[in-house]
Amino acid sequence: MLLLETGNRILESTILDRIAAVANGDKLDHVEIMAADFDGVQFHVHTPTDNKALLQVSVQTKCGANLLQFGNAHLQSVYGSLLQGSAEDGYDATLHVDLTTATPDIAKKVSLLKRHLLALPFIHVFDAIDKKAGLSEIITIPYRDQEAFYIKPEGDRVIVIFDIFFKDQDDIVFSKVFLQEFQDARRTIQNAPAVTFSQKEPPLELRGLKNTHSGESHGFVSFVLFQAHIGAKSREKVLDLIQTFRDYLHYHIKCSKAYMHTMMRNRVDSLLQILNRAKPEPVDQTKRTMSGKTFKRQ
Amino acid sequence: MASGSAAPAGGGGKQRNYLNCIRATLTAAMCLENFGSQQVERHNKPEVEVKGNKELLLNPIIIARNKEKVLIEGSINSLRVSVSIKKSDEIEVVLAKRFMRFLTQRAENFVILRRKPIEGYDISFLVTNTHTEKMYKHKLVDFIIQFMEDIDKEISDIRLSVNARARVVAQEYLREYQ
Repeated sequence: MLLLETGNRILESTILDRIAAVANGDKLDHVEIMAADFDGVQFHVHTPTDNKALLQVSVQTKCGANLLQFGNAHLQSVYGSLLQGSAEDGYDATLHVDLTTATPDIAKKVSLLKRHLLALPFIHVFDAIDKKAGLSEIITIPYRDQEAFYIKPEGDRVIVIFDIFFKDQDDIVFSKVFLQEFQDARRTIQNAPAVTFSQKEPPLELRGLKNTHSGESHGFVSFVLFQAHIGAKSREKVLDLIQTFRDYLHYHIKCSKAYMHTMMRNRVDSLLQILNRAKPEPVDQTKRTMSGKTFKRQ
Repeated sequence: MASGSAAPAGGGGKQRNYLNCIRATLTAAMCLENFGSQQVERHNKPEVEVKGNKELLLNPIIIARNKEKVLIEGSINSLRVSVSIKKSDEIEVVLAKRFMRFLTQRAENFVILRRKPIEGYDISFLVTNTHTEKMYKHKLVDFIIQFMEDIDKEISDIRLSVNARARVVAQEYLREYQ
């Protein structure tokens, strides 16, 4: 499975299990679950009141304020009455799920809570471009401790720039190999977004912006999304994928390091076999006399 | 310290010639016998590591082929072979470093491997008279030559697999945008 899953499986299975329990007529228990997702996002699922059929799901991100400044119209359109007016203390958004009336569809929607929350700034920019509203300012979303992504509308296209931090210096070399392939993929895949990357210094599009990180361990990847990607037909898929690009990259770098270890381990085994050929076979040192007595020569 | 270098012959067998030269030198240098330490009573140390007495050491030889080279230092009771791997670009530097670290951590299993390489080289072997007493000499030389071939092959294999993976990963991701 190459692509990362968009929904959160913990949320989905929690709700699905409880829906099945309700259908069976089983008794429901109190729930208290703290779950995590990519990019430091935390979920809190619990039963707030004595009514065990009412489940409260809250999500918390590092950049909640930045995201919600674009208004939660999109969240309202997706979740309707499930969305609560004010979020739980310390969280960015809260949903109430009635397990007696919930369907698997609703479970799927709830599992996509993080995805919908993070899509808010993108939708704001995409809509503005559709309406030709002429936005030009760069939106900064610091979604991780030392990393951020920037959305820059430019005419009829959008440039999304990721600032990726690499803790391990070797990862930078691996990422160069991977990102070179991303850049070259345009040759074979028509309509792919244009990808460029640079290291250390932020790209020209970010010149003049305050608070940008730079340094040996920072890499910058720019995606240019064209009309075809912003339009209603592909928009949902694009929103799914662009949010977790940084995680996708790191995940595959780690996978190739793990594969490397497997190859090295196999090679070590074969080398040891060759070395063992150098050891002479132990000679059997048991000697016998004519009458049958045996003694072993140590 | 005199150092000799062998010029590789032209044609497709360059790698072959290089390895044959190393094989011949190793076979000659691996004539080891037990020799107690002249410095400390009752001690027996590998003279090539201690380098206490000049008369016990042989001239070191470097056999080089472009960027890759092998340093062979001999003595009366021990032999030290240091290999420097050919690395053509950044990713191979990273892969070679990781692979060598992986191997040296398992130095105990490999018996003749040295835990730290000599300065300027990627990996080192230390063969003493105890090893040649317990193992066949010609097989030990075989092992070292095979080791060098295998490392080169392994690093280029890993590098190809990383490139292939990168291509698949990039295409899988960008294909979804269509």
